Amino acid sequence: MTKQTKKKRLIAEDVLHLYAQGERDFRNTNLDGTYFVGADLRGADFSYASLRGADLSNANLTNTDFTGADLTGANLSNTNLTYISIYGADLSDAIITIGNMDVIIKGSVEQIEGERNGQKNKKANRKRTFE
Amino acid sequence: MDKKTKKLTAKELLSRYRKGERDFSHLNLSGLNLKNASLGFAYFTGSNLANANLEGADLELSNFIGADLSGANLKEADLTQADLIGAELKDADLRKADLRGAKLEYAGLFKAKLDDAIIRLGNSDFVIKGKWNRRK
Repeated sequence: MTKQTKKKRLIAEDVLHLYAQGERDFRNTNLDGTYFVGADLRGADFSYASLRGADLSNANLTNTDFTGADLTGANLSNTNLTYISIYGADLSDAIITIGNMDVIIKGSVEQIEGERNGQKNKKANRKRTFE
Repeated sequence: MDKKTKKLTAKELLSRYRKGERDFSHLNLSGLNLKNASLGFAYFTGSNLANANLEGADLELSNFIGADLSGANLKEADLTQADLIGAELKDADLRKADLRGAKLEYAGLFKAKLDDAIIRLGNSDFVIKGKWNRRK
């Protein structure tokens, strides 16, 4: 048995219905190919969920958690990805918006681990010297 | 003095930067060779940097709001936390550039090369290995 089959299968209607009732915990669910276009999913927790090929374009994903989620081939165009948690997620072949352009990520995505970030952040925290 | 029409040389720009000047907004800096230059924390708001060579340059936290960077060479440039809102980056070469925390809203990235660039999505940094294909 693979991990995939153990995940609870939900459809978009289930998620949106539960979300409307105040549920935010969708961890470890199977949401492959789900249609979430333009959906309000603020603050929802999709960590370790499978969202392969899901369409999340134009969705409101502020404070949404995709830690360790499988977003292979997912469409994330026109979503604001600034305020999400996405550590360890798989974004191969996903579509994301950068600037005015939708790009398809071809090939693998490599996460950069903490050390280099730490150095960077330290440097970035220097005081701006201009007025 | 009319800042808009004044064209700086690379030497002049770097010398002014070393002396502590950080405001290089609304200047014509097109085509300048600024390879590996250290120009972080500076303002290039609305400046013309078209076809400039900024390969490997340190542009950390610099401000390029509304600047023209079309055709610029930004290979391996450090653009961490740079502000590129509304900047024109058409045909720019951003391969291996570090765009972590850079603001790219409304940036014109048509035909820009982004292979192996580092971007931040949410709380994590990613390198995109291989090609970035513009969506058809």
